[in-house]
Amino acid sequence: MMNSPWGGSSIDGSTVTFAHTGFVYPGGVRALDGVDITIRSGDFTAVMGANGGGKSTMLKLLVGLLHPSEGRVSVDDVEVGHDTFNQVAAMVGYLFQDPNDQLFCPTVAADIAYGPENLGLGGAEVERRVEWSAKTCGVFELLDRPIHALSYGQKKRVALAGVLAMGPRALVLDEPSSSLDPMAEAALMRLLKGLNERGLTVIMATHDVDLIPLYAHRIILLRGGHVAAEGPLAEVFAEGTHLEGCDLRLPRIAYLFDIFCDESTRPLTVGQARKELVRMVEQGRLDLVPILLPKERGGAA
Amino acid sequence: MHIAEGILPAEWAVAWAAPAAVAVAVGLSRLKKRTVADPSFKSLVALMGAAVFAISLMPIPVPVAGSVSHPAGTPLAAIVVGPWASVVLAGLALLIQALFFAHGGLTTLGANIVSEGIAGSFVGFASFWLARRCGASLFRAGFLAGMFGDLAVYLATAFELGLGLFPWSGSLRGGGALFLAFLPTQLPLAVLEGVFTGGVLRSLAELRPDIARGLGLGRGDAVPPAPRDGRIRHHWRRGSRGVRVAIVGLAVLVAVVSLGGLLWAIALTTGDWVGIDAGIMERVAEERGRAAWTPFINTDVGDLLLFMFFGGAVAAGAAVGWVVQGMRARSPSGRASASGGHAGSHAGGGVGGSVGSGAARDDSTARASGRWRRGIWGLVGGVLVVLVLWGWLAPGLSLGPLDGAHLRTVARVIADPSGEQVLSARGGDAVLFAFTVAGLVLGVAAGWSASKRFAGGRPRLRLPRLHGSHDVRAGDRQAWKTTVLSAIDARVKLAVGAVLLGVNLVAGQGFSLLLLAVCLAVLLAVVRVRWIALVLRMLPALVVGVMLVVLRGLTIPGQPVILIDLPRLAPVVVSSEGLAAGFDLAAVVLAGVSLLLLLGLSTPLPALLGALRWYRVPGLLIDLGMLMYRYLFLFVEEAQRMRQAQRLRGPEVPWRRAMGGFNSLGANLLIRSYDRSQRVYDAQRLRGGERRP
Repeated sequence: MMNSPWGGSSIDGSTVTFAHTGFVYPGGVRALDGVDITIRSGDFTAVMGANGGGKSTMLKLLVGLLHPSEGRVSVDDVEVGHDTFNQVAAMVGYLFQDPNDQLFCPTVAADIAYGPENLGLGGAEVERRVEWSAKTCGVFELLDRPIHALSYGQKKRVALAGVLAMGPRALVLDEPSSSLDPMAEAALMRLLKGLNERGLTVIMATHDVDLIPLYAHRIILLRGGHVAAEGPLAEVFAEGTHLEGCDLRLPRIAYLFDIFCDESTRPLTVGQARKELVRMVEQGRLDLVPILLPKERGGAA
Repeated sequence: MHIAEGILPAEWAVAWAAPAAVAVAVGLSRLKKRTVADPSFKSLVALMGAAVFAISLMPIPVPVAGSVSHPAGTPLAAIVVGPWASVVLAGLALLIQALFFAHGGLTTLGANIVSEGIAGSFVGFASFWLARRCGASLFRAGFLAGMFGDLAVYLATAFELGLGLFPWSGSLRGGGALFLAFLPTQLPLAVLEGVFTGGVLRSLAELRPDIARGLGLGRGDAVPPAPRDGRIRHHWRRGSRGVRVAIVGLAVLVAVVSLGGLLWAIALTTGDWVGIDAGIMERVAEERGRAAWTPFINTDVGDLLLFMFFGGAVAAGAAVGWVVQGMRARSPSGRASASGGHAGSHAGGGVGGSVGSGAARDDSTARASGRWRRGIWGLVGGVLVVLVLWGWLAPGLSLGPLDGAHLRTVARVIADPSGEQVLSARGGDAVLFAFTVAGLVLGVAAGWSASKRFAGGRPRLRLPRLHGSHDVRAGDRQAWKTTVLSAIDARVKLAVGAVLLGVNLVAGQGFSLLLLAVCLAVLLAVVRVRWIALVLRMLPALVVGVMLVVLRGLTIPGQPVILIDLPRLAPVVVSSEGLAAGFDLAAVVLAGVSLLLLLGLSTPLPALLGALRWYRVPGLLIDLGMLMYRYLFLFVEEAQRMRQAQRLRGPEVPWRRAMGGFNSLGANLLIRSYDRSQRVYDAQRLRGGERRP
């Protein structure tokens, strides 16, 4: 861990603040309106909502690719703007949805080194960071390969390695798990979770409601450019109407639980559901036999 | 069309490299200025370059020639990113092509940049600019730009070859003759490049007017451009009537003056200008001590009659071939046998009918009209066959007013109303018979293939694969393989390669043959290129080599080795001195190409570009090259996917629609490259790209 770009085992994550932020595209389409949110240091936050709900706009405002029409966005104490673009870029890493947009150098090593070189680091430090990032993201064996010879999943990992090599204090990801196979998705999310546990602020736009409860602490639901709901996962998911308004659904396990058990609690992951079921069986409120062993019960009768 | 490695002598290689270097340097400095005003322009240029490279791999079918052509792409690039940037792009593309395919070369890079880059870009751009100022639509202006730009590329190439291959006094004539030799195939290709360029621009404006405006292609009365602050855009406006008249007048004046100047220059060098036949062929014949040749179709000795029969036979054969193939495709056995082919099922109207009632109705209407058309063609063909055969058989037969002699008399009257010319066919009836049979055979073949191609009354095409995309990928994979040569630093390889290419030009045949042998041996044994792949990659150079041997053998006077004495024509003499000179030049070309292949197949392009950076080649050029290399494969794959998607929705389409498909494919590639260039620029900024020197 000492080799990591942060120089130690803990990361001092950034705090991100949206204050009355609004954004209107040049054609007149309003993408965000009056967003007031603070994402605290070390949070793992999921930004969810329907297509066109304002997720990508929000993330781009955060890194300074777009500039707010109203209000302001700040990272720690730095207001995101034209003048502070490079300062913010050094603090916040942004992972594009399509890795082909992000990987513009001919080889893997050159691409991972691009960011650290621009930070003005020495050759040895750049090499150290490239090695650490490549090993962390599982692309160390690919360092000398040309980008165009990689698979899509490998490109995603290389893109993340390039962002991590800059040693960001907050990580912004636009649908990082899209088009990944289940194993690659799990590996990517475990990596993000591990970095988040060390203090990195993670902000991630996604549609995957089954994935989010496994990793994220908080959720921001966007509907038509407004914040429909924001807070810890359990609170937001407890209110199903929020989700329907955002064209989302409950996690499958919560939906299944709603069907079988008329309970007020709503587990969001398989682990939570298992605990809840065991608790209910122990309290004698649930007889699982008719559900799990219908034949044997019928035969005994 | 690229001039192959080794063809141009050292002095001409240097002479062309100078203007090319100046143009690229000017282009780079203008690019740099524009990049300062709009930092995203660099990625836009590189990605547009990669898109144009991918587009230039798109084969455009040429039904007339029965083959495919590739757009040169520089006129389109010049319109999209401006002529100076286009020169830089052309230079990079030619470098990549020289290293990937061994198309073109390093010593001929300068000459190729002058023809394809400078001539193609500026003539294309100027034509577009003039046409737009005169109020032409985007398609028409693009058409003119594509056509004139393409022709300019070949004109420049012809004169470069003329200067390089012929002695100074005969260079203009030689170049002119070469251009005339290019013309029969190049003229239709230039028209197609025009249709493609215009079509791409029109599709671009229809699909994404915002990008068209952003690139400055919008009309003057459209919404103002400049999607980003500070971006400099050229913006086309319709000129007023007075301006238009002045511009057209100026263009005509320039054309007349330059044509007059060209003819004057030719007259100055040779005394007078009497055309290619009399000027060049006649003089060659005189040098052999023979009389000047008579025209091949010599009406004085009855050739017109000969060719009338030949033409009639072709027409008759074509009609017969058309009808027979159509009948064969309609018969159940013919359809079964043709189902593996691409046109049989359409000729029968089979597959489309089952899709829906509307489609079935359309199909039956097409079948009915096809039957009528075939019936008429069959009738015409039958009558012609009878007449032609009768005309040949009939001298001794007399069947009233329609006997053979009568027919010949009619033909003679048409051919020569004054009746002063010789009436019998040259060479007698045997020659006439041979011409007639040859015409029939040719006609049947043409009619047969046309019937397959034009099934249903309209030409139908399958969209062909991207040509050369396999070569690009295979060459790249090969270059990344680890071999003994990979351990050698690219800077050393590049320096040694450049020195060897230079020595190859001046050292003589012995050195070239040795270099060729060593390169081939290393390619096969060390780099482990499969021999068949090597042969395929060397094939264009082999063809060039054979052409050079033949050309030099025929044009350099000396001891005759082969002498073919054609009656009434100049004799065909191949001299030993000419052959020797041809072999010399062919050895230089083959050695140069094999060395380029060795360099390209043993070193990845990024390593070579990195080496060029070390040799102080401008960083902007190298950055552009790296970006182009990165996105080249992506765009080739995208083009391939789009083409596959088109094919899956209709394996064969009418020719017009196929052309439209190519245009929208090209436009889509440009759109994707434009959109992606913005995201790539954002990605660069987010990782501190603006701090980079």
